[in-house]
Amino acid sequence: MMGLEINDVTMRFGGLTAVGNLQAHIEPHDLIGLIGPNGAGKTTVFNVITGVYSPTVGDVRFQGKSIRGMKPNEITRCGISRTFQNIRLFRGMTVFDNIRVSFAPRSKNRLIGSLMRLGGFYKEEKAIAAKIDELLDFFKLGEMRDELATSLPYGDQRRLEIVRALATQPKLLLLDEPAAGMNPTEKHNLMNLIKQIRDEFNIAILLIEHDMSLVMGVCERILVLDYGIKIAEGTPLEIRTDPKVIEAYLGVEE
Amino acid sequence: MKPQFTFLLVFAALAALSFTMGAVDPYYLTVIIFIGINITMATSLNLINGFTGQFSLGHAGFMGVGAYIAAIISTYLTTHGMSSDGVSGILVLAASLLGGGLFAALTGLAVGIPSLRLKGDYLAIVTLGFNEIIRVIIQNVDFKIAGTHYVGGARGFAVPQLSTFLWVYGIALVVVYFVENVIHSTYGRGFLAVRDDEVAAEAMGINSTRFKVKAFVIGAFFAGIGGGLFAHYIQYITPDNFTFLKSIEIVVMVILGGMGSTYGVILAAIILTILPEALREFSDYRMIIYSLLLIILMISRPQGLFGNASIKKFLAKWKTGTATN
Ligand SMILES: Nc1ncnc2c1ncn2[C@@H]1O[C@H](COP(=O)(O)OP(=O)(O)O)[C@@H](O)[C@H]1O
Ligand SMILES: [Mg+2]
Repeated sequence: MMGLEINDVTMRFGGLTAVGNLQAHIEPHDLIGLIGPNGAGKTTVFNVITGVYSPTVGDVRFQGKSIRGMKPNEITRCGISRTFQNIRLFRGMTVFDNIRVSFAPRSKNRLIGSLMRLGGFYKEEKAIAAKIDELLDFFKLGEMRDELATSLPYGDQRRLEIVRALATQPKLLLLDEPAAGMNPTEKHNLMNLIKQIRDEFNIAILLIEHDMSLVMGVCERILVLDYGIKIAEGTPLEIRTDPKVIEAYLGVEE
Repeated sequence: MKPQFTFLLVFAALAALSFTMGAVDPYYLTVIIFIGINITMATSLNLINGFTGQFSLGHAGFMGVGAYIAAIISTYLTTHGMSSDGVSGILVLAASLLGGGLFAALTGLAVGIPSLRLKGDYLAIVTLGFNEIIRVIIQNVDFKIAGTHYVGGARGFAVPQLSTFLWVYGIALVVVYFVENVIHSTYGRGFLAVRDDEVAAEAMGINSTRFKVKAFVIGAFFAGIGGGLFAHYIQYITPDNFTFLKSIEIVVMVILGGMGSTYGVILAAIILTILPEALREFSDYRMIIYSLLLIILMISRPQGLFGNASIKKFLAKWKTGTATN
């Protein structure tokens, strides 16, 4: 199997089961929504997939091999990349350099090359800069290239996190509430952008979103978590009419 | 201008300057030499503390390791047929510095691998402890080869004078060149990423442990060379030259310089080497005035002389650790 498999994963923190017996799979070109009330365990699923936590029970497989127990940087280099619910940009760096970090692990010029600075060094740096500028232009962030990342408006910071994740050349992109804090127009544009990213970069995307209606518009398949348990999975239409989902969501909103 | 040309140009200027050093009063020359050695020490610590965001308090330990190993090598070579003059002297010093630097780097590897998983305060305590361990070990080592004393325990170790202005500043130039070139490359952005946000750096594929260990080992290597230069200038070293007070002195240079600004750190190394000398006439009050001046500097420029990363922010990050969300 080419995509991601989550096999019966349970994640406990002391006595709290944040994720319980989760079974899920994501195919190469999927755009899947992961929804659920606050504290349902969505971010924990991302942390387990990306190796921040090792699951208490179960296995995570990507492109046919187990990634359980691998370190986050190794998993990223396998082709899974993510953004964070609480923005985690590199605060001391410019927009350009924030993305440049993603190229560091693949840079051929390491300590000695960077020290000696022969012809090959400049050639590679030029190629990397060209790729970064291309990405920035695609996301209309080119004008802010040399600004400090943290000085950007909130919505742009969220988009920059997506660009930075894409620069690692993932096959699977995990987005943790990328629309949080945006106004309705920005949210709407972002959802279109996410679809565009999937098609343009030809990758799979797993999207966490609090707002059910937003996810319904873009995702082909939706997983619903409640108290760490998958209570439903299906097309937007199926999810919308599922009594368990309605109950979970109405239960929260009351 | 390509950095290689800048390097050669500065080196040529230093070489020209070195010819005038014979005319300089020996006391001033000593201060000038100590400034050069402190630039090497502070710039190398800046790679660990400033650019990679770790908090090492043991830099003088690596300096001591380098100083003693280099002194052992040069003493052995000069008592076994090699002259300390001319080309032979240059070879002796080169071999000693390299040996001292490599041994310090190995020590850095041994200390770094188990302890770099610790955050902030804990790493500071472990490296401080390491510094004291080194001092105690040196204090208790003393051996003789062919009638010559080596290491000499607490009494001290006599070392041939080999370090010159050009050696000291040539090495400082190499360290500055190295750190600046590496930090400003794409690969080197990995160090800064680890400093700014370790979790995000890992998520971008950066092996944070490896970057931390590399910074630590490179820093220790240059500190060892700095120690070797020091030993071969003052000609008599004792364990007291390498106490944690010396480590703190270097840490202060890095903080005052702006935690991650090479040029700020160089300026701080110059100021903080001259300051205690300039205060000599106040004898007993010297350290009090020195501390007061430091406090005033920190209050008026909390971001350091050149820095953009403020100490407050640094301390805040150092305390919070890294929760993941
Ligand atoms: N590192 C942790 N230690 C203890 N509890 C945690 C940890 N991470 C998450 N949790 C708990 O797991 C549950 C699910 O959290 P999370 O995955 O962040 O939810 P969501 O992203 O769906 O809002 C919450 O009750 C949260 O408090
Ligand atoms: Mg969450």
